[in-house]
Amino acid sequence: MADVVIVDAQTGEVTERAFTPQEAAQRAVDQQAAAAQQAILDALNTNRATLEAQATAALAQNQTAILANPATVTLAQVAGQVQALSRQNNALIRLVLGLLDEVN
Amino acid sequence: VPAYRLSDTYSVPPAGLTFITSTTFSAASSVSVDGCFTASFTNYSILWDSIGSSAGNATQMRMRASSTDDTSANYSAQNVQGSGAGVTAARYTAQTFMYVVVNDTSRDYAQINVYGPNLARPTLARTTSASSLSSGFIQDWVGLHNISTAYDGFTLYPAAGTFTGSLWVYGYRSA
Repeated sequence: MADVVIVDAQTGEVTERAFTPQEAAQRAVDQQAAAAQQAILDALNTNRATLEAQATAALAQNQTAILANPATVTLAQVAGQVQALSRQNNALIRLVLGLLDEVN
Repeated sequence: VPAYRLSDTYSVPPAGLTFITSTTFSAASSVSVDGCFTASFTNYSILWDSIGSSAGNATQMRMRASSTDDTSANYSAQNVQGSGAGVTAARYTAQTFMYVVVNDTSRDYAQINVYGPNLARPTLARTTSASSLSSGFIQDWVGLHNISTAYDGFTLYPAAGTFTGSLWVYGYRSA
């Protein structure tokens, strides 16, 4: 086990050694940056999964609206469906454009 | 026919993909190859085989000159990845490295083509990978190092933890 493996392609010599203090400091910076970036990616992936789950649920909700009797639908129900469709459109736009910073 | 090596004394290396060097490593935090990018070739292929020590990481690459990594924020990368029915893409700019392949506790193979690293112009790298992660995982990358400097080597390292595996470096010789 070695922190660093270095191959010299000109001579074939392989060096295995521990980090120098400078390399160890760089490694710490790298790991901190990687962890911060991973946290952002995890949040985006969570939002993507939420939007996809909402899209799946919307299929059933829309089917109910499609099968509703127009003669008995109330104005409030129409307004509610318009809001639902607007939310679904926003979700689809976010998925298409990759705007996954939030789910609303 | 024995493989050509840079230390061999042929006046003209054979045409085609030419072996330069290889190494194996175990529980390493980084692997560097010095002196592999030379005036002998313009473009190179790195074959990569590794298993990481921890899940959910990436293997990253830095260009190297005179045994020193370039850690400046002049790298960027674009990926496309496929897992199950999902295909996603992402771009990363102003990075201090370029992503090249997933680094997980799965076995990950990659071919990293490196274009013009020893020329005084920006270097591009294109990775196609094959990972056993999640019963088959595709992750392809383009990496850009936007510095017009000639580099003679590279470093590969995991974003976290260590990795164990092998690498082989080849040069593309056109004639």
